[in-house]
Amino acid sequence: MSKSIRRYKEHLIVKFPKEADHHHLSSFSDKIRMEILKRGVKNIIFDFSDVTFIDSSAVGLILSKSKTVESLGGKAGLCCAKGHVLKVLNACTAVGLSKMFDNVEEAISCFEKKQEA
Amino acid sequence: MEFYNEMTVSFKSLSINESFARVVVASFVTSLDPTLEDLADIKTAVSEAVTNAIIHGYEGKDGIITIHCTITGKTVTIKIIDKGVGIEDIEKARQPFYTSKPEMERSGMGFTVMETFMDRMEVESRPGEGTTVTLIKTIE
Repeated sequence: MSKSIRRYKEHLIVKFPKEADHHHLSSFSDKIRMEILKRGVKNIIFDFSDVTFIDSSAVGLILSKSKTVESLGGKAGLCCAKGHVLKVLNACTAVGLSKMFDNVEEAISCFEKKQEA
Repeated sequence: MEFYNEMTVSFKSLSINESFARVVVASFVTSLDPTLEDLADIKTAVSEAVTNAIIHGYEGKDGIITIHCTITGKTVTIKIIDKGVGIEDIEKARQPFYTSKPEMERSGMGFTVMETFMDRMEVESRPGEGTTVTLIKTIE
């Protein structure tokens, strides 16, 4: 499946492309920014389930977009990262900067619980 | 006698060539019978160096990137060469999270990734003349 952005309630779910490099992410970044600015978006979840290649370009995008939603009072999370994808995220310390989840549903559940507390 | 092989490839500084560059290097290295993890490490490091050449070396303008690869025994040496603007302060550029282009959402982790995934990385650069990044890895 190709990259996509979908909305569920106040959560923006960003599915990264199979090859998450500078070339494949350059136009994607603007689309994500436009969606974040739409009314009612609070949290962002980066879904790596289709990703087979990643480099630090993806980390730059994650850090930038996470900062934007957090400055607006929201939260950011990463999910479905495994193997080499996880290794690159670890090397860039991105795992420590955003919470890691097993899947999108777990991230949504965590963000909604925090809101209720 | 120790096994020796080499190859050189040149291409335009277009972002679409990032995947071409990492795949061609990975294909060349397969003669060393690397693990999938070794190949993924090399592809990631090459992608970082080529992306740097496109964004920082040529600043998005036209240019030629050359990759020169040698295999000596079990060691692969990959040179990524651009004739772009060069780096003023290499030590500063190598610092984690340092980027000269924060407006382009660069993480500043490119050199850190190259250092982490390869056995050795060297950077030679002259302002106005270009940059050569050398990546070295021994496949056990």
